Amino acid sequence: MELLDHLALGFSTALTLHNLLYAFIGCLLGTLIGVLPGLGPVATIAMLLPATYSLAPTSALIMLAGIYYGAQYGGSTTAILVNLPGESSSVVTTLDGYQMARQGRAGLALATAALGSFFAGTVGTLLLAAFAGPLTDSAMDFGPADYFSLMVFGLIGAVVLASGSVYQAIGMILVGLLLGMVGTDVNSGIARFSFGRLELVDGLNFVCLAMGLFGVAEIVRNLEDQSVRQAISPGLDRLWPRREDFKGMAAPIIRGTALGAFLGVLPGGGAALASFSSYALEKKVSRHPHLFGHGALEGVAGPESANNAAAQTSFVPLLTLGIPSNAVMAMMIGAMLIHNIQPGPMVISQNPELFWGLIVSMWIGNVMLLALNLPMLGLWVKLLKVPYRLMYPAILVFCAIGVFSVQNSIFDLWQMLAFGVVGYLFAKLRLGPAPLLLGFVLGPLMEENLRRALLISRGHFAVFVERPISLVLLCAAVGLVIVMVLPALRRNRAEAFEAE
Amino acid sequence: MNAPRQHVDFSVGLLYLLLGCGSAGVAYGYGLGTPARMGAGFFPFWLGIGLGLLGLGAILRAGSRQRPAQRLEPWAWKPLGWVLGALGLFALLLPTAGLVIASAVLVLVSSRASAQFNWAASLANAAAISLFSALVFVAGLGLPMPLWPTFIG
Repeated sequence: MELLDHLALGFSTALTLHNLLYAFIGCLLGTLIGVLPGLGPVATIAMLLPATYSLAPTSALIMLAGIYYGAQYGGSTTAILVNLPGESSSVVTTLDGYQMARQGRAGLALATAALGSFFAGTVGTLLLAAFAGPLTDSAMDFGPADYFSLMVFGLIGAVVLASGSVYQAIGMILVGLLLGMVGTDVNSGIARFSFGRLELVDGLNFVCLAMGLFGVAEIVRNLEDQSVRQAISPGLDRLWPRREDFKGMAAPIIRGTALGAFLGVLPGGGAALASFSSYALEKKVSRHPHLFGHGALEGVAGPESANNAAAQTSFVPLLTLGIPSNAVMAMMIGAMLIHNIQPGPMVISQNPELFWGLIVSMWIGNVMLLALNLPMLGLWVKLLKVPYRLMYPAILVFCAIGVFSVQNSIFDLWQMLAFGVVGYLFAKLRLGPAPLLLGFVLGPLMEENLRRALLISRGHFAVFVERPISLVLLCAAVGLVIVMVLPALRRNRAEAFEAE
Repeated sequence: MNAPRQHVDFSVGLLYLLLGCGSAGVAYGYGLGTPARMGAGFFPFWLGIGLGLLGLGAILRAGSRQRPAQRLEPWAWKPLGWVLGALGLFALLLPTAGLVIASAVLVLVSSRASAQFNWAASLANAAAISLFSALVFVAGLGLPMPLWPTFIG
C-alpha cells in the first residue's frame, strides 16, 4: 500500500527528536496564544517566521503548523472558563461551554472539547493524507490558464465565505494583488511602484505587512477598548466524562468532524466558519433545541470538533495546489517561500519527507495537545490573569525584533509601522485585512500564470473558457458571486455571522 | 443627504477610487504591451481600473442611501500615537543605542498607551523584557544586532 509507505516516511521524519521538539514548541505556543485573547495565530506566526530562518524547512513548518492547530485547542479553554473567545473559531463555544462551567460542569465541557478536537484532528489528518496524492496528481494536468482560474475561484470563495461586505472584501483582494506587484517585474526588469527606494526593488516584505496589519493594528484596537477583563475560574469538577456523556457527545463529534473537514477545504473556509455552521446544524437536528445557550453538551462537542477538523483540512489546498484558503495558510506560503520551497503540486515529489513529515506531525501534535491541555489547565487559567498592559509591550518588542532580524533592515521596521497605521485605518473602515494578505501572496503567481496563458493562446482570452478545468472553476466563481448577490441568501449569511 | 463623508461606505469608496486610479495611472507608465506580450503595466493597470470602479460603485451606493448608513468611528489617537511613537523610537535607537536600550524605551513609551499606566510596573516590565530579549535573541538565537551603544561596545 502506497499510503502506508508514505505514512511510514512521515513517521520517520516526524519522530526524530528534533522535529518532535519543534512540534511540541509549536503546540505549546499555539495553546498559549489560543488561551490569550487578543493575539491570533496570524500575528504569532508572523512574529516567529524570522526565528525559523535558521531551522530546517521541515522543522520550521512543523512548528508553525503546530501553532495553528494548537490555537484551536487553547481557544476553547478560555471560551469555557472565562466566557472570552481566545480565537474567532471558539466564539460559539462560549455560548454553551461557559454555561456548562457555571453549572459546575467545566471539567466535562473541557474534556468534551479536547476529545472532540482530538478525534476531529485525527480524522482530518487521515483525510489529508488520503486525498493529498490524488489531488496532487490532478494538479499536474493544470495549465497556466487553469491555475489562473483556480486562483480567481479561490480568492472569490475566500470573500464569499468569510464575514463582512462582499464588495469591500473584493476591493481588499485587489489592494492586496496590487501590493504584490511592488518590486521588480521579472520579465521586463522594471522596478514597479518602488518610488525610487532601493529597499522596495525586491518588493514589500511579507513579514512586515502581516505584522503591521495583524500585530500592531490589533494591539491599538485592543487598547482602544480598555474594559478590564476578569478571569473567573469556576471550580473544576471531575474531568473524565461518564458513559452517558460519551453517548451524548459521539454523534455531534462525528457530524462536526464531517462538516468541518468539508468546509476546511473550501477557500475562505477554515476554523471559524466551520464552528458556526456546526453549531447551527446541532441546534437544528437536536431533540431539545431549547437547551442550546443553556449548557448543551452538543453545543460544545460539535463546534469544537468542526473547528479542529477544518484547521487540519485547510492544509489540503495549500499542500496540493499551492493555494492558501485563509490568512494562516497565506502565512504558511510565506514560510515556505522564505525557505525556498515553491508551494504547489511539486512539493510532494520534490520534498516528500517535508510533505509527509508535516502531515504525520500534525497527528502527533494532536496527541501532544491532548496530553498538554488537560493537565496544564491550572497554568493556563493563571496566565489569563496577566494584565494586558504588561503583555502588549512585550508583543511589540518581539514584533520589532522579529521584523528587523528578517534581513537586518531598519527600513523594514518603518514598513511595519506604516502597515500598522494602514491596518488601523482598515479597522476603522470595517475592512478585514485577511483577503488583502491572500491577494498579496497570490498576486505575482496570478500575473505570471495570466502572462503564460495569454502567451500560449497568442493573446486570446477565450483560452480561459475553452479549457474545461478553467471553465468549471470560472463558472463556480461566477456562481458564488451570483449566489451572494441574491437577497435571500444574503440575509441568511448575515444571520450566520451575527453572533460574531 | 447629510454629510456623506461621515459614512463608512463613502470613505471606503473614496479610498478604493483613489488607490485604483493612482495605481492604474502609475502602471500605465510602465507600458501595457499587448495581451499576448503583457507589459510590466498590464496586470497592475487592470487591477487598478477594477479597484477604481469598485470604489465608484461604493460611493454611488452610499449616495443612494438604500440602507442605514454606518457612521465612522472616531480614531483613538492616544494609543495609536504612543504605540507608533514607541516603534519609531525603536527603529531610530536600535542601530546606535543597541537592543537593550531600544527595547526598554519601546516598552516604556508604548506602556503609556494603556489607561492603567503606572511608572513602577512599566519600569519593571521594561527591565524584564529588555533582559529577556537580550538573552534569548542575541545570546541564545545569535541574531546579529548591537546590544549596547556603539561608544561602549
